[in-house]
Amino acid sequence: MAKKKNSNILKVKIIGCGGIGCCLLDPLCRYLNYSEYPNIEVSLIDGDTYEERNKERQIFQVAGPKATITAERLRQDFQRLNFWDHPVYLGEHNQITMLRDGDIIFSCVDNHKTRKLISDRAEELDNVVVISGGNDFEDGNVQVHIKENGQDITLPIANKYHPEIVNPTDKNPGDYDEERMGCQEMAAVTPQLLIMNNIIAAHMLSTFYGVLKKYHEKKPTDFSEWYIDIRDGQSKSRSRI
Amino acid sequence: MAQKQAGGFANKKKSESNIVGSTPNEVLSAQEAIQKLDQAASGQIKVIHGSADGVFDNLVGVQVSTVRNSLVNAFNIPADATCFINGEQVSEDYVLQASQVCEFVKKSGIKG
Repeated sequence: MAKKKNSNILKVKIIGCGGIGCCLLDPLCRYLNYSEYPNIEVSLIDGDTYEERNKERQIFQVAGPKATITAERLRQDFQRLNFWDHPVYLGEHNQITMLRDGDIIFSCVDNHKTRKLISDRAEELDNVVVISGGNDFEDGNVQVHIKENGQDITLPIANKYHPEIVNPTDKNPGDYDEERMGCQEMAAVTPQLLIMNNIIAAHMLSTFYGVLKKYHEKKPTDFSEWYIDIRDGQSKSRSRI
Repeated sequence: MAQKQAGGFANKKKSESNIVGSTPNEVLSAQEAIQKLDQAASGQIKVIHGSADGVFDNLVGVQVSTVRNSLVNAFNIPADATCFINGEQVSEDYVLQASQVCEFVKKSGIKG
């Protein structure tokens, strides 16, 4: 990537264009398109492919690589944004080029191995915001990691409260060979609720808004994790030390 | 090697002034601050799981395992939730002390 002097570009990376990603992308891009930020890049990173069976929870008109199909659709509606599509899985081989200093990263992935990868990469950077969402069937959580000038303002995603992310036992989809499973095959084993994807995406967007607002107001962010339970109708943010 | 950029994130157009809070380190609302002070004064223990939480008068001297079993249904505490006292992980036989915060942390949502 060409070096840019005096660049003032808001760089947003969305990893995962599945259930949560689809719910998040349209309102996020609409917000950014009409925001005051002068230059905005939106990068979509996902190695999976849309299939007809994904339509239960995901937005697309034609089948194909999720990142590419989604970027093409969003370019039509949000012409002020610069979209980059990366139809690849995030992995050890490309994380350094994909995730860079100054990025705002939305993690919408479906496995802890990739969350760990993103968290570790974020710890190598001096300035980064990672907003990570994940859900089970009727509950879920959003974590935010803010790092500024080399200092952790909030905890990394892989932290002592989440050993399942520190030491993931699942696999990055990019690690699969002949055994690769797409979203639908995994859904047969682990079903998801579109409504839960939507709630998590909404909380990720709220977190994004809150983080940026407080950043510009030079106020500290006072929470790093948000729990949502739709069975009990509860949503609560928590600080972490 | 990644090219390091200047610190911070892209700035908006300079059409609005920065608003500085009166207390840069303020992280609690007034109500939360009062509750925290009351809790500390009374020796109450706060128990948290996910979006559920409560403050209890009668948990001093009680083991974590007892608290877990008592609130498993009310707070939907899964069996594999780990317990943290004031941010430090503890075992099930840990005995709660006054004014502590006992949080059962469930595993992060995995799907997306």
